Amino acid sequence: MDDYVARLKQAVIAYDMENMEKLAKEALDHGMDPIQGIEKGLGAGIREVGQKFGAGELFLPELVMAAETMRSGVAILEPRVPKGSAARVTHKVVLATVQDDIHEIGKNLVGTMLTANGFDVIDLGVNQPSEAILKKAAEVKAEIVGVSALMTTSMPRMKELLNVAATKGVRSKEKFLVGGAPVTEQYAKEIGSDGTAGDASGAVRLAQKLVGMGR
Amino acid sequence: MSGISIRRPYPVLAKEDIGRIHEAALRELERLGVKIGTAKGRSLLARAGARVDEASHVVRIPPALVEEALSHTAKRIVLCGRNPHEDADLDREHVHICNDGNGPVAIDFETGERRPSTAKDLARSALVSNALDNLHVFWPMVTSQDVPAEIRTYVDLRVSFVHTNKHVQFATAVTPENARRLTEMAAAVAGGRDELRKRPIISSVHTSIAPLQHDGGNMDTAFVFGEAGVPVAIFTMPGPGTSGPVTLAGSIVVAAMEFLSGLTMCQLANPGCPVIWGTGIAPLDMKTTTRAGGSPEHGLTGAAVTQIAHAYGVPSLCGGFDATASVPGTQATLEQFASGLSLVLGGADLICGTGLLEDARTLWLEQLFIDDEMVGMIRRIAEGVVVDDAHLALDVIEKVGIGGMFLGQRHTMDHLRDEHFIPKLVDRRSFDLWSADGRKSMEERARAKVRDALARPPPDPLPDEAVRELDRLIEGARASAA
Repeated sequence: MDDYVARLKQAVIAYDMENMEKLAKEALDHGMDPIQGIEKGLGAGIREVGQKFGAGELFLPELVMAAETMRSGVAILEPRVPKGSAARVTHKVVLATVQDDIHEIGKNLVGTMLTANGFDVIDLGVNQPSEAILKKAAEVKAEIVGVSALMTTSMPRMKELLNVAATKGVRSKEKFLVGGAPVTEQYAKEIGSDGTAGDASGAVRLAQKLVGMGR
Repeated sequence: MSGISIRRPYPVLAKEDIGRIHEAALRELERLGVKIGTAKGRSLLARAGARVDEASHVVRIPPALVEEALSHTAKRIVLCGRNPHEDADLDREHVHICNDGNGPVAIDFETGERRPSTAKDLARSALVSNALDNLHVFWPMVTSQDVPAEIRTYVDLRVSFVHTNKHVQFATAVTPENARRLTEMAAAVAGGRDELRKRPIISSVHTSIAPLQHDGGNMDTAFVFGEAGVPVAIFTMPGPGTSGPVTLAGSIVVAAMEFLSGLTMCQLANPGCPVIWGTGIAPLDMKTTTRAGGSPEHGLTGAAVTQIAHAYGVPSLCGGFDATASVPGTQATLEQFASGLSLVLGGADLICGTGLLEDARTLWLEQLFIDDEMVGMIRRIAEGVVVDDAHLALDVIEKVGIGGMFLGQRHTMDHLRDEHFIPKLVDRRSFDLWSADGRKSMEERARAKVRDALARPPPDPLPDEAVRELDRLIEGARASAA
């Protein structure tokens, strides 16, 4: 059984997307504990890949392929986790581009990177009103809400979002990250957000810190 | 090592331009002629049918004689490394890079002091060169001024052999005695004179004097190398507006006359010997009176010469990636890019100029890494856009579909390293991350790489026996000078 856990981990590290499904099924057939497979196999693999990417040893496509590999493994193993057993801890993040803005390349990258690092990302897309974003966050019990804007004209929507969140009293439940080309650390502070980062890797580090996964 | 493959050389001369320049050079070699300082060269040319004026040493060469020499010259020259993996095959389809050489000044890597160069600087420049991705031929970057002048040239070759396994290009052989001793040294390392002829691990650069003169000793030295099968570059460098016409085409004609007369002599002396057309047509800056090695004209004329050389079937050696700037930084980079770009895109067989600033004067070890990055970027441009089924990627476009993401496709990673230039020094991190990491400049990052390179041992260490033989030959030079 340990052998299968190690093989699942190795398959993620080698981003063997094509054979993951078969391997995961085979592991279950041989009696591997699905929780062990997810945590010590797939999870350990993606953490190692994430660390290598952070250290500049891997390219982004490799990280994403490893994440895809992990995901296809989880899809097989998760339904077999016995009901009532201690559920996996996943940190949920809701992402969106604010209202009046349709730019999403940076947001998508952040989503990809967060997913690759084990976060459960719910991406609402572009041009999202504050109300819609907060509604979804409450619905999925998100720990983090991340919004982006590319244009200075749509930036004030971030402040609006934070104001609405304060009115609803959810600031203590959800952390709010802001990002996009015009967003500076100073601006992020001014509007009272929980932070911003210079790039997608920085966003992951910040998110990890906010949910207590800090390395 | 294969050099930089050129998919589509970018021409700077039209086909008829090449013909016009060649016709002009032939016509003026017959009408005006060139001054030839070597008695042997004049006598060879006279016997072959050239008109020689022994009073003025001016030789007028008929076109047929030049064409005959061109038909004999070696068509394929391989500048061999001590390790065959380092060979620079001048097959006219690849660009090779050589560092700049013979600098008299070095910036001390530890103290930053600007001072006369030493053997240690030379050794260090070789060690750094070993660590570069795009450096194919080594030219002793500085001279060992801490050893006596009479043995300096030989010590420079010894230090080069000991610290790198690349082909060594030489440019300080000015007497036949120099050439004989350097050839013996190279033979000692290559495993004998026959081995050296088969696999020449050194080559020699011989500069003509613009406009239209060949120094006697210099050419006699070239003949000795030619006899040993050591490739020789006739380096032509009229300065547009000073030692050549201000118009580039005119200066190229002068360069062509110098090259063709030099080549004709070399072929008469040693039929079939390998000859390279060297060129460095850089203008004098008319305000500062410094040579503008980093000018766009320098690379442009080199690309033109390359086209003509290739029409002759000979490889080119072009000065480029030069800078007159005094320190590394924005100006140096701009100058180097301007003088190097057209050479790589034009398919120059060998380009020399990286690593020295102040127009080939001052060694900055950091600059070698910065230049290597620059060459890598231009290399990517030269490789062009590949269009075939794998690169059109229609299956992947369909698989990912509308609004999808290509990051996680295996196709992305399979082609990433070939399709994208991956920087080693250029820092593309965001401001926040760069700032948090100490706001290091390009030069500081290059310094760290120099430090790593200096800590690595030289590849393919020379056998003790060969080192002893090199030392014996150097002692011989010291004794005969005394």
